[in-house]
Amino acid sequence: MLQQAEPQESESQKSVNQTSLCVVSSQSPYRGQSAREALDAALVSASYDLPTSLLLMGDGVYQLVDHQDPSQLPRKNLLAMFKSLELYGIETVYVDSESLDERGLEPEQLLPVYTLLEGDGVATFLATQKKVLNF
Amino acid sequence: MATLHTVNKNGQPLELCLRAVNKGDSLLLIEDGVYALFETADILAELIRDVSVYVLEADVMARGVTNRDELDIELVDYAGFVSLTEKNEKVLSWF
Repeated sequence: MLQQAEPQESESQKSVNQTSLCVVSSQSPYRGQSAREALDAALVSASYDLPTSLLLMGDGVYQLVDHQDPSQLPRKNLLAMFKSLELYGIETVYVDSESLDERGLEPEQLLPVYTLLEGDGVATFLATQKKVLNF
Repeated sequence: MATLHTVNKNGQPLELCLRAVNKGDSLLLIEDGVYALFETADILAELIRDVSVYVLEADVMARGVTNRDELDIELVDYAGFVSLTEKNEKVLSWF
């Protein structure tokens, strides 16, 4: 049985609004459910008014490639979800610039809804986040 | 805000982790991540200047990864894994 620590509980509830969450998504869009699950987690977090951001790195940058058409796959178009993230309160979508370079992607090939993180930008940014979830 | 990073595979998980670590963080290699001792020993040798690197004993032993002694990398058991998660504010798993 877990013992409830009452004072700490209320303390942590008070600090909920200072908590920031970053969802790191590093798998390509149609390989497994990882990309979809990352988006869902970010949407749920934002719906509870937590300051939420999404960071695409590694193969995760493929999620934002423009003109995706998965109509011949039994899958939803994730790109459509990226277009509405702002509406759901997800503050920023970050993209690791090095991951683009490694894959021969130009920033113009992506849906223009993101902020590029260059150099040690990823490490610096993650250090500022209270919570990080990796997908 | 120190972070414990766990890596369970070489390749992309380790690469992305290296991009996300800050000075003072800890890195624990688990499962197939311990093969980094063979495959990317040079990278680890450089990393341990700024980051504490650990390997999980059970996974090292199971895979016969033996060149740990050449590097300043600490072996931890499962209890050590737990105390690393306690010591750090966040745990980030790269997989």
